Amino acid sequence: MAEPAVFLIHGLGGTQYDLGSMHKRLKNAGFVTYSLTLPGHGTRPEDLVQVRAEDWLEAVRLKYREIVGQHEVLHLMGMCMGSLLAVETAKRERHATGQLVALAPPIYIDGWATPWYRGLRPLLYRVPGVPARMKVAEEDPYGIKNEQLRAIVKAKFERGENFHYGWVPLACLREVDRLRAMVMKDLGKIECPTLVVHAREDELTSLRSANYLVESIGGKKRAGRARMVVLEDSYHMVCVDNDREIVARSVLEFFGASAAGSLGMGVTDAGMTGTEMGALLAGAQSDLGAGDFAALYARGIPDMAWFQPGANRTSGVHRGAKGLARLQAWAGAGVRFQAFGAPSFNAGMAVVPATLTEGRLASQGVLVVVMRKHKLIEVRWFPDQGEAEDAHFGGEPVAEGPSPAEKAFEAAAAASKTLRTAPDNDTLLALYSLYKQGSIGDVAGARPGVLDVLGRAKFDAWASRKGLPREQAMADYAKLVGSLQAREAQAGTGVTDGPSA
Amino acid sequence: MRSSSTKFFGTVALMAAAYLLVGALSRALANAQTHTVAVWLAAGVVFGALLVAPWRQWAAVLCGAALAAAVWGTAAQRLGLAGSLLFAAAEVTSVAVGAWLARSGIERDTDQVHRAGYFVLGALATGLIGATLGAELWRWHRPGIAYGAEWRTWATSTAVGILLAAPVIAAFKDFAVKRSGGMGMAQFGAGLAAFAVFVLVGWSVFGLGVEQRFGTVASTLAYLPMPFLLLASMLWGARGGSVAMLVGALLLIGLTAAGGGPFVVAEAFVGEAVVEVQAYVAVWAMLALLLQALSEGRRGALADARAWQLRYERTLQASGVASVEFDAVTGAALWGEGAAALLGPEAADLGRIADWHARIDPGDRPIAERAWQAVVQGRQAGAIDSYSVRLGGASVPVEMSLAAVHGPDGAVEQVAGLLRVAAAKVAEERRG
Repeated sequence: MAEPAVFLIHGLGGTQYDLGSMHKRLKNAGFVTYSLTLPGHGTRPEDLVQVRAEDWLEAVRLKYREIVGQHEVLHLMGMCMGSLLAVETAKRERHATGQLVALAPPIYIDGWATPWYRGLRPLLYRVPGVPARMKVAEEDPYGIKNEQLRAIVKAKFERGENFHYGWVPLACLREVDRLRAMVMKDLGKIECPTLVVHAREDELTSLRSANYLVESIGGKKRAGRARMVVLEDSYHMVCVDNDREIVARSVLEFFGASAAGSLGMGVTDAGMTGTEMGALLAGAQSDLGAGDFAALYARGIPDMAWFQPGANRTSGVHRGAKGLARLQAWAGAGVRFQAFGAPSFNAGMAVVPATLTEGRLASQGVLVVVMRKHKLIEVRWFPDQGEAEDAHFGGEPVAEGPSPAEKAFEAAAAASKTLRTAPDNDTLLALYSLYKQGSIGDVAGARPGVLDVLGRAKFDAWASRKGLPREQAMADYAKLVGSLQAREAQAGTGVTDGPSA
Repeated sequence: MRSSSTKFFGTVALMAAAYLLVGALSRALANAQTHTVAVWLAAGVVFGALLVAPWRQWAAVLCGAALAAAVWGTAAQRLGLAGSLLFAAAEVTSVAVGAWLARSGIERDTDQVHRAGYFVLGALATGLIGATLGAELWRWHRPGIAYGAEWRTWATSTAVGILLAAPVIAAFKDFAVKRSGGMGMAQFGAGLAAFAVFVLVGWSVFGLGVEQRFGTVASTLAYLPMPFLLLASMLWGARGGSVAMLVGALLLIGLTAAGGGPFVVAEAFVGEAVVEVQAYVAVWAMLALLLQALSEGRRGALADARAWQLRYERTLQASGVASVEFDAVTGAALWGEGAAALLGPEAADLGRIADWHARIDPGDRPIAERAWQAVVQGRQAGAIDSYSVRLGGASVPVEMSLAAVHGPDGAVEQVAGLLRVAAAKVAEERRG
């Protein structure tokens, strides 16, 4: 297969849950992912008693050999004990068809939260019956620094979910210790580029483990073969903790894939898959083809902006509801975008050839549509010949800032803050409806339900202004605020004059 | 699965073996002129077992203790059959009553200090009842004994045995070896250092020849080692602390029994110094229990508070809601933990209700201000309104719910607010 593949190995007592969303991220980035459930896992902790380190290695080896021939590129990746297995397999199999990633490798069991008696376990291994019977429990902090996530994991343990064993037999730790000893030998034989990801605050295994691996694999003459990413805000479970995004990005970049692509995003984090971006663009093209700019803006964030270049009456940045109103003033009379070419998507944006038409004008260029999380952020029009548009539309660019009517409107809005006494309900609704009509235009959306008395009253008041031109609504608003100010001034005078009258 | 009878007899055998073993160890620690053994940890073992065993296993524990006590009475005290049975009865009755008192209190009270108090009460009750019954037994069996000395020795040795041994058993009840999350090496090392200092100082003060080393001040040095033992006990937590207290106390008792230390000045009877040092140790053991209880209470309270905080944050965050409390008089705003996540960094600038109103869309602001006034003046119990606010350069649609919080005189003291961002993703986008 031409697609690169990644073989992911979970940790001791765990499942693929240990690797968080790595499978999904890798798949999104175009990798085929493989995994396995290690012997003794996925059932009951007691099933680990008889499992030897060689059993885990053999299971990994078999899976590795099954898939290595199917792909030109196969990367190996493991978490915790899985990383030890990945390293040992890379060493034994002379892995060279891809790269190696070791996440939180426990070369040393010396993390800050490991109990003081950890050094006594070799003695206990020798006591007959103890390794098989003694349970080594998972405890707070469960390898997770993020307290909210930790609470969730704790709840999963309490519910008895089989995502991770609550304990492992001591015999199992003996096998991990044996595996650690195997891994520590002959690390120089590893030929593939290696990435080690380790948290500085790993409570199970200190940064010494990562240093050892990197120095042993990529030290001296092999300098550069291994590198390390140190996480500053995680404990042991690096794929699910605070730094999981850094882990995903580091791994994907190490594999030569776009981290953004793994999310179906551009580098600006579009938060959408390519298909979703295509669908949103198609909708936007449909609106532009129909000249329905209101519908286009409805696909955007509230502050969506249209960038119109040139030096004519259409030029400027038309942002938000007011921008739409300004844009509609020149585009509402028949501006269309047609003859769309094949779009190209990159980094959260789509670039699509188009032709702007109005009357006899047919101006060719490209539209750049920036989108994020299913919303349009901005649309920029780049005509091939801006002079043609200047000649066609004529006039001067819209002055930056508000028009005189808008200035009066804004001043009135500011003055409304200074009113000392709250007007009666009818006046409040009048202020509200005029402001909305002046700033946005006709009311849109569904009328609130009967239980939302206030929302319904506001909606009805605004709806009663439907069709009122925005300029008129602005003027009426300013007039109403002025009259309220005058009334207050009169009342204030009356109060002052009262005693002397 | 083991049958109930197997389990019963297993418990009996285990209890009896532990009793005899610890009894022999206790007797080896000190000799006294009294018939009562001067150091008696066996009572503590039985007491501890009764504290941690399910109620249904009490019979097996008591049977094992009675059997062992009868054997002890015959073999070690040479009491004969009747005397041995009475000895066992005195021992088991006193421990059962004391443990029942302690456990009843501990199970119905969640306050850690109270629970420590019930434990001490149970230990003292066991000592008093046992001493009374035991001293009567000695008087009946061996007329002419020093009744007071016997009573005092039984009471002290039993109470101290419980205060030292039972916490160890209770602390290790749910012990499990941990992969991570246990006491770290640094903490263990600090406790070990404190314990080492205790041993050194204790050996100097309680060892032989203390008067030659320190002269007349020797008797005033008894308290010198104990702060280090307490420190080790606190650093090592409930399990390590109880072991430290047991080992440390036995060290001092053993040194005193060997003729060293400030308590061997003038003895009314042989072994009196051992009884006295036990009383001294008992005070420190009770202090350690109190400190452990305070520490555990604090830890539990912090954990509870954090759990509540996390639950509260999680609920609000998942619902896209931020909470806020406004002072009705000053308008000062106290935003909940999740506000910054929902509103972005500008949440820090919304220190007063006026700051909030200033960001409301001008068309909505007069209505929102009127609603605020109505609530804060007590004309309305609450208000709900939807509007847009300017945050991070964007217009964010929100729903604000206000509710008055009344003082005892009915005046509105605070206004509680719940803010829901209509499109939570807007804030997310703004942050992202």
